[in-house]
Amino acid sequence: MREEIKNLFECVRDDTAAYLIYQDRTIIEKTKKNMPQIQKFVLWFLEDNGFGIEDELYRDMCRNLLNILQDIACAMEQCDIVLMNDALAYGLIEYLKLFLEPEEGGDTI
Amino acid sequence: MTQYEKNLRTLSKHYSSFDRLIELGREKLEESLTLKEEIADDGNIVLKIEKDNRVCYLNGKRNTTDAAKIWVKSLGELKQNTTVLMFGTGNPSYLEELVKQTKNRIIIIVYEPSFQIFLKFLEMVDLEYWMEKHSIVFWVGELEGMDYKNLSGIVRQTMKYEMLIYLKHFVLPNYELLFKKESVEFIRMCRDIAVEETVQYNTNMIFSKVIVKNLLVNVKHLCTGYKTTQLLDVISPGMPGILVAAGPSLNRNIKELKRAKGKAFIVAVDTAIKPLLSEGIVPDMFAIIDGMKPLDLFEAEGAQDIPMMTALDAASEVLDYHTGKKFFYNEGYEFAERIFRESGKMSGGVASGGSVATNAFSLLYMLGINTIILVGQDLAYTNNKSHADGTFHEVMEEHDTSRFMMVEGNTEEKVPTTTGFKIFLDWYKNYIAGCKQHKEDRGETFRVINATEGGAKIEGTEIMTLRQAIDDVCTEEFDITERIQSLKPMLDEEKRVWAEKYLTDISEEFHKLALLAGKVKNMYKKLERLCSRKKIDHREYLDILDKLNKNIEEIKAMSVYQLISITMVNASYILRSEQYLSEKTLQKEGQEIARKGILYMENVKSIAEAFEEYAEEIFGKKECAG
Repeated sequence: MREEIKNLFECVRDDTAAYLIYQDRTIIEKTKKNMPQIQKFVLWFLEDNGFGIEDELYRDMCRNLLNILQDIACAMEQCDIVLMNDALAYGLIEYLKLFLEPEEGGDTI
Repeated sequence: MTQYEKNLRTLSKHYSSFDRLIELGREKLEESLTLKEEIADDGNIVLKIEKDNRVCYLNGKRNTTDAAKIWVKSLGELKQNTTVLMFGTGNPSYLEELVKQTKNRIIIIVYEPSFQIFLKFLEMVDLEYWMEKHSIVFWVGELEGMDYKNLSGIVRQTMKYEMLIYLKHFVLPNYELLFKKESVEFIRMCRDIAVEETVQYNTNMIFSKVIVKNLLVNVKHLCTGYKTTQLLDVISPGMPGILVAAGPSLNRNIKELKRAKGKAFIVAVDTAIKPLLSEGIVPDMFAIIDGMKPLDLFEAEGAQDIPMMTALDAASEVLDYHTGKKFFYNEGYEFAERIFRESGKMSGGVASGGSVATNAFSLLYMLGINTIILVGQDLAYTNNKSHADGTFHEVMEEHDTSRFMMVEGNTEEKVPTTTGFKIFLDWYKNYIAGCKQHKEDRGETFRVINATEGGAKIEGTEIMTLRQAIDDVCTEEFDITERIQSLKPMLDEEKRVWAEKYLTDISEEFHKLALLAGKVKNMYKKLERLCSRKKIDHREYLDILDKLNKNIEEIKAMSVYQLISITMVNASYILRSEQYLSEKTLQKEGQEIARKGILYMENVKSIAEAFEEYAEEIFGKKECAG
């Protein structure tokens, strides 16, 4: 799973950077392609608290992650690039970082 | 006082009555979208817009500032007077970051298509400091008088060629979705202005080499020439005009033109002369403005005597070859304007759309003609050809147009065209609309019939076959040829003698200019010496700059200086673009001014000396008194 998270992190990081720096406005189309990996990650995270996180915090994190997923779905439906970037760059990516090493851009638990 | 009221006061301080316009708009406001506010994680307000069954955020709810910060950072350091064109105000963080992070004073033109969003924007920000720090223009689509036409005038003033490399434009995220039509129009307008500026620059670069030669060689023709305004005596009320261009469709209906002879004022473009003459059709006039037109396009029997409408900077070989009446219009060349003024004839120019056909079209309109028929004005590669057969070659070669841009056609659904032709198409559209409005205001009508029978559709024209157009419009006989032949040159004998003497004195003017340029160069050297010292005497510095300005003004006021500046078109562009760059210290700034000044004046001096010699060759040397 770690390798898959790393790949997804790189994709999301590059897509949001292209949006923010180069004003590339194809973030919806790009995210559509990453959707299976995003869903897989969310399900994996929600499945079980095997990360040693305090229970209450884990529940909050799950709720927040579901909100993020909902925003991604909504952004896709409305073609809303602002919401999509917000959900990815300031939402999902923070979760992905938790499972990466610092040299990979991570913020390991 | 609310934030909104405070902002209205700020806006009215910079743009008088803008506050009243906004208040008036607010009273009449008809909501075209639903605007919702949400509080973001950082406490800022973010806007959510519902429009056309779509809901979109204008700013992120998790982070409201990063996107704007990164965007401004990506622009790099913006030079003084850089123009930033922004589309949208619904996410104020972009404008806020741009204002905050940019040290140099820049020009920001903000276009907001929705008045509703603009009103909300005025509640969310404090404009006072922003508008003091930079020059900010707000243009609100739904407000009275703030339409695209007026906006393009403002944008055009800031999008000068020399500043294009610094220009930035930005459409706020999601505006392209919520305001698709408006954002496309905005970008298209910016693109069109940039293309026009670039084309103009390239044209100047290409023609700068030949313009002055043509001007100096051609100016002698003014002594025996005519003024286009004299043609007002030739045109009868109700007389139609026919403009014959050299597009590929001309071959389809050229023979038909015989029937129009003597029933309309027929003006042909230079390139159409040969095919017309080979069909036995002699136009009443032909037009040439191109400075590099090859002579062999005219070398046909009978071409020499046809009256010609021409520009002073047109190809001198053609003007010398031509022996008939030459009609000139005011072009703003100061050394020639003196002769026009002396003639006492009515002043009059023509609008330049960039091509000989657009100039000729403008002439017909200026002469008061109310119905103009266009022939051979394809502005497209009809049958994959650029021009009619019999113009540049007996049979014109076919081009591969598979990658050309496609536009609506007159007889075909789509036809291939080029960026250059597209500029002329747009020119016609705007010019015809302006002419119609002008005529309408005077209770008259203006008709343009496009009888090209091929090519691109020109907005504002009626599409008709040439046969039908002639039957419909050319119903009366006019003695046009005789009337043109009866015109007298614009200068009488006494004034002609004066003009010839005036031209002989031109070499002396160049001589004076060369001397003055040498003097100014020495002043720049003095400035250079002063600025190389560790401590600068500020009074002396300002004193030199003052003297320099006075002498430069004197140079600019000389009528022949214009000819020098045309030749130095590239140097002028470079200087104009560099004037926006500022140096850190007064020494460095002074040294830079001196370096450029010395180079520029050296060029002015050497070109003036060369032209002095050239003018002597053309007009003869002035005899020394005593």
